[in-house]
Amino acid sequence: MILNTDGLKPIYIQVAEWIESEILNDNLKKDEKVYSQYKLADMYNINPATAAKGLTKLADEGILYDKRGLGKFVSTDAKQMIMDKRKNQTLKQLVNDLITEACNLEMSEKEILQMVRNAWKGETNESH
Amino acid sequence: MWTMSLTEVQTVDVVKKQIGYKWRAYTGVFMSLVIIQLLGVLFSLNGSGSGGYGRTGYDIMVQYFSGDIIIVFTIFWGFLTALLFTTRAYREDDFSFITNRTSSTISTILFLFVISVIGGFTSLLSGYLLKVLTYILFPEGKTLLISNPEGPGVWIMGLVSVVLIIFMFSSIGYLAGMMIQWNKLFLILLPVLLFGSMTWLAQSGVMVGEYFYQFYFQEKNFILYVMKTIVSTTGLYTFAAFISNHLEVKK
Amino acid sequence: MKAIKCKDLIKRYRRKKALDNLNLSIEENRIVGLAGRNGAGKTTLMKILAGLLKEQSGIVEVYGRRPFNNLFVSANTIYIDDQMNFPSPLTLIEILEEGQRFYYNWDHELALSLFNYFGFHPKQRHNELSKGKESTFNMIVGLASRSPLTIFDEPTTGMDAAVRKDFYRALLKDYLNHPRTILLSTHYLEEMEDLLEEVVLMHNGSIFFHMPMDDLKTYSIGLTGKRTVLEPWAQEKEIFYTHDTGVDDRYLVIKNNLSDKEVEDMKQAGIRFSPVSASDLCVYVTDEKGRERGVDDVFNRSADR
Repeated sequence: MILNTDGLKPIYIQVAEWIESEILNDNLKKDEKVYSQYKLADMYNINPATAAKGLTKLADEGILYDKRGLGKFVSTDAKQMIMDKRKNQTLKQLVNDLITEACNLEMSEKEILQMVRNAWKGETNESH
Repeated sequence: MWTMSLTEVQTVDVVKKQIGYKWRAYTGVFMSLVIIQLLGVLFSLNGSGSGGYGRTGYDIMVQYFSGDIIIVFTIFWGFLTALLFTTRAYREDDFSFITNRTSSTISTILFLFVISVIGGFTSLLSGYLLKVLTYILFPEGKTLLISNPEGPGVWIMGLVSVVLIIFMFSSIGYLAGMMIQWNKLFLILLPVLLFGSMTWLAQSGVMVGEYFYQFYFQEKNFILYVMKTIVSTTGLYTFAAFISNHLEVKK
Repeated sequence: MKAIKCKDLIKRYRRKKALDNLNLSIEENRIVGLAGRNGAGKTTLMKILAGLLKEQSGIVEVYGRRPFNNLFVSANTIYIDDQMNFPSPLTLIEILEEGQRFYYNWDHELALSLFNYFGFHPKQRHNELSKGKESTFNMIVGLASRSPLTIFDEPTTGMDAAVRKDFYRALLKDYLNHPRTILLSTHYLEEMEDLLEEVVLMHNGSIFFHMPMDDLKTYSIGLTGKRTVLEPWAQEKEIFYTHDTGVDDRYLVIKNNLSDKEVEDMKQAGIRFSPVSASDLCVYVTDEKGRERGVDDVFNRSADR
């Protein structure tokens, strides 16, 4: 992953999100050790304190857990937690933005739902 | 994991490193020594004095050669080199690596002592070169070589005398340089004060130059001579070190 | 122990106060960027920390000791700027060897590897190098010394973009392996943002702010929209920068303490949000010329005549 340094999203959140994707993709399995802040700093060319902040955020949310002196590990139900979080927060936000833009363009509810339906179809068809 | 540890250092340790650093870095000092001594030899070949006698059909030409000019040149070299070491570029060289003002000054003084020894030794050797050259260049004359009729003890005393006088003049150069670095006004003030006071004193009958010459160069007692030069040199260097402790680098 | 501590530090040159009651405290083993306009006092502060200059009054401590004329501080600190002086008779390799003799943590293997990587010739001399090459060489000395406090004052002067990138990478790599306190000033702050843990912004000889880079990046936010739409929102907000574009468009930089509700409402009103880089913010907040139009004003005025 390449960090987006121009966006509004802080680097440490991007790091946290990348680790979340690794967990969702099963590249990091439960009870597996997560990369250290130094390894992450090296991978992304960032200050290790920033990387540590990303790890701490995940630990605070319970997605990772601490083993004293050994580092951070993936929690048992990390995958479910990430999915719930993304549904409740990220997706919700995206939908809100979508509605805002639709209103700016003076679209009706029906029109925008139609668009969503079409997009959904396209997406699911492609994957078949 | 690797942890950064702080290092306590000894001044002696740093001074040693600084002397080695100067020895390797300032090869130009030795180049200038060779050149100035060769110049000295060249000037000496002119002869420092001569006399002619003509009596009843015989003409006797006597020409004296002495290595004094070489020594004078070397003293001047010591003075200039010390002066050069006080300039900003040279002081900044020290501060590119570990040092403080104390270790920088001490190492410079010790280095100046080392080169004074070398300068003194080679100026005496150049004296021999001069003798050999006169022998080769004036084959038609009868050359009387007067070499150490008093033995090695006196030769070593001569060496010590020459080294100490070079070292003393280096301390004069070093102090003058430091004063100039401290305040550029001294560049004008020092010569004006020196020659001004000498002229002024001369008018009232005190010949400073003569007195200076007698005090140091005509001292017959070797031990007393050594004491005089060492005390003077120490005083001058102490004063210079005092100034340098207040100087900032890399303004 | 703190790596750096300054309290009410004052340094006066003949006419100008270079440091004016400066207070600063930096923890060990962090990479700290020192930002500020030319003449803000960055170099003076760094030279005092390295023991090269003497403070007039106040307290300055590096690892608990006063730096001026201090051998301990000299042994544990290296100051690298773009005017390094090395004896001209020494070749580049000989300079590195001297570094090895002096510095207790010196990594000669690293020095030689970087030396070869950047294509130096062992027999070259320091005063024969181009500005960029000189900076590159000085940077090698600074990194290889592994000094507990490493100070880089404009280390990238003259380096091209590729070398600068290599330098940032080398700095981070070596820091990760050997954490130490690194203080550096640079005109390319935006290129180094992700490497820094903290930023110290100096202005007129004192500290304007000192904060973690992650906080600084979200400290302010850029708003773009119609002037008439923006104006009501901007009231009671701390405005760092205003710039008018087009006929009635405005770009505002304000303190980022908006509530989610405010953000939502502003978006509804058609205001667009954009991040403000740390380096831009540093320029905005230290701009004394009215925070209005900057250099544009100069040209507008002359066009009026």
